[in-house]
Amino acid sequence: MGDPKAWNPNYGVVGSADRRLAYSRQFSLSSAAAAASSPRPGLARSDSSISMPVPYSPFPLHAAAPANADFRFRWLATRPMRRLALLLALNAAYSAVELAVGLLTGRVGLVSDAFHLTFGCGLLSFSLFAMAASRTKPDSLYTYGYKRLEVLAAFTNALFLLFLSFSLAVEALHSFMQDESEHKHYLIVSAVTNLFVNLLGVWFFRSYARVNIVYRKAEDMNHHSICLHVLADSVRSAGLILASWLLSLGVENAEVLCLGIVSVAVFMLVLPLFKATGNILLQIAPGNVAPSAFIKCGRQITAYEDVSELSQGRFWELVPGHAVGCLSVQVKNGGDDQSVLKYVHGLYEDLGIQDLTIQTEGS
Amino acid sequence: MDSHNPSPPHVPEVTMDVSSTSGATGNKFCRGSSCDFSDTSKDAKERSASIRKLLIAVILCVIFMAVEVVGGIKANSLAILTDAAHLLSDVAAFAISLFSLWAAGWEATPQQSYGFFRIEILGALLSIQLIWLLAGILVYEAISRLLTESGEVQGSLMFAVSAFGLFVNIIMAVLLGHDHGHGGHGHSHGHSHDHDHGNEEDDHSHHEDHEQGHVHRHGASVTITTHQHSHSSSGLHHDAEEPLLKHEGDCESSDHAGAKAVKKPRRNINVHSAYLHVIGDSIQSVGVMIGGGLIWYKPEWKIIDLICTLIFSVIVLFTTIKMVRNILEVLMESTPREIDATRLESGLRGMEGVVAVHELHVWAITVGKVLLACHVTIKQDADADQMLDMVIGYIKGEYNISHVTIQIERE
Repeated sequence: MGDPKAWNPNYGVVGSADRRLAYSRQFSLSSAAAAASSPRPGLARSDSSISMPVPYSPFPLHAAAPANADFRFRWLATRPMRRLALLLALNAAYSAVELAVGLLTGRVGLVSDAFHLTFGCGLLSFSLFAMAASRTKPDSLYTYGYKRLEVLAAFTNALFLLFLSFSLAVEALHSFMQDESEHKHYLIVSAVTNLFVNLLGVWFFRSYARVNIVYRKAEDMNHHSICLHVLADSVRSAGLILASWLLSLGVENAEVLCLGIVSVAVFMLVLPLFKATGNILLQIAPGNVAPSAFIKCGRQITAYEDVSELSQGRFWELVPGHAVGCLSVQVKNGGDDQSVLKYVHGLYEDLGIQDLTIQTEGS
Repeated sequence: MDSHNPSPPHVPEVTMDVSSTSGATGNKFCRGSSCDFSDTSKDAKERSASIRKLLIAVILCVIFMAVEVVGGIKANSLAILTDAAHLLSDVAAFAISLFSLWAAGWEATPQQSYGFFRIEILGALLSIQLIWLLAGILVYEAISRLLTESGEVQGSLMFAVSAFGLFVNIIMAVLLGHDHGHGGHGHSHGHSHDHDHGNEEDDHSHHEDHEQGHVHRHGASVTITTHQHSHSSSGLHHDAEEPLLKHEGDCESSDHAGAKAVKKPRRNINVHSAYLHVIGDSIQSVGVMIGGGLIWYKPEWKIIDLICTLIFSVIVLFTTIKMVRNILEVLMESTPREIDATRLESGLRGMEGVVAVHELHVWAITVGKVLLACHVTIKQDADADQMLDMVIGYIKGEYNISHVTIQIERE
């Protein structure tokens, strides 16, 4: 089993960081031992730039003790959390300054920008909270643990981005109806600073800077949503700067055009994330297992010797990568239900579904 | 497979038998339409009543909004148009609720094996986010009113417009909130009709009632229908007499459990969130009225307008907290509040023949539909089927969780 020359069907696929492989094979129990002992494939099946950079080290399961369910979480435990905290601090500081200046000088544009930044900060802090709280151990109230918080944070971020796109469209409409003399040129300073801070954020989370990502773990969704958030903000700031510049060049309706393009861009950016997180919250069947695999498993179970019928296989995902299922199996008279249990568990473990409850009846 | 297995006269068995004829097997074998995750007739009725209410509210809202838009354009006043935009947000919230109500009735697919009931929860979350967004926008408007130099802000206009908005919102709050009497009657009538038909579907709706026994109104209607049950002449009657007491007993226990809920019959979560939206708007209108009145009376006191708006926005946020907590608990797949997981586990462990209970998970698909899954280790010599029936009967009887999956393992 530990022989490195042994045939490993999962070589280069499982455990590779290639995000294009949506239906990647999961470890099966038998090869888990082998894979654990064999060295990580030096040349993964595809070593392209879309692989996740290794330094973003995944959490080894036996890492630092997870926090208890009290609020003294370790807020700065991992590198992504520290980076997010830095981003948050920068944004909060800037927003406070902007609000103060806006109130003192009576410039409404600065105040509205400060509000917008504050909303964004609130969301990012919820993401940070989710990252900190999600490592808490499960208790009797939250029997599945707190990992869902990450998906929730991602969903909230996606919602916010949808709202942002909508409000940008409204703003575009607004500036279409107003004339250009009302354009607030003083906002350009704010836009430039915002752009730099957000570009810093995009750099921190650069491995998630894609629209369509395959989600392997809970934190993937959260990090992706944070990246899209800062990306969308930077696109918006860039749009504002471009609009100001074009207006100064005398281009008509520059603001409308730029805001419109930015609004559409943000919408397209966020839609896949919104759909994916929404699906998890709606308890859709696990995305990394092809539907045909479920059908095939069903057929194999029905074909097993002691089984007379299979009913109601229901599967859902708690977070990407952790699937849960409930099945009901009708065992023939006199059949051995424990062996049926073992067989069915084994079948689904090959698909990567560990958390199963199988009700055997009727022997 | 016979669904009415002649059971030994063992009291829990009989209860289980009658309370859910297709329930006993339905639980073991949820086939297609007889499974409680499909759209039962009672669910559909409740949903169509809610949809009707919301449709009326939407139509009213659109009419009022049109009136305000026309008035605002003719008077060339930004304040009126802004209020029309707030009414538009009301329409958006109702539209979200309507869509959620409609979508929750979709049939389950292999990809969405539990059905689409969760859409209600996501729709309610979206509505609540809208409420928060609006509160933020109102605060921003108050600040901008403060910053723009006076002259543009007419206190009298503000007052009048927000008074109109308040009036509209109150009408809609009454419309949306006024469901207890009708709903209750609707249910008991619905049930008596269902019972007279006496086919399998209706046994399910009866069964549905039991599941939601912890909610009070349904508990009440169940007792009515059981009386009906004994009068009508369908075939299940020979065992109806004894368990009639048990039913009352069940209802009693759920009565006690739900004693606090007597005063507050459950509303559909989407209607409730639309209702909250309307209440939030009325609170805001009151705040704006006070601010407008103050500005009208003494235009120098503009800062009070801002303070007023802030206070009322905070009040609105507080009204949404309870619903947000419910939504979050469902989305986090946590044990529903009405079920005590530790008591359940110790109850199971205390049963005869059970050695250990592990991986106990109780979660809700939407408010009111609870599932349970656990692994039970039994003694080597115990009869698996009997243990399964005992465990399922206990869970159904004590906690009213109908959709249960138990994995029986031997030591």
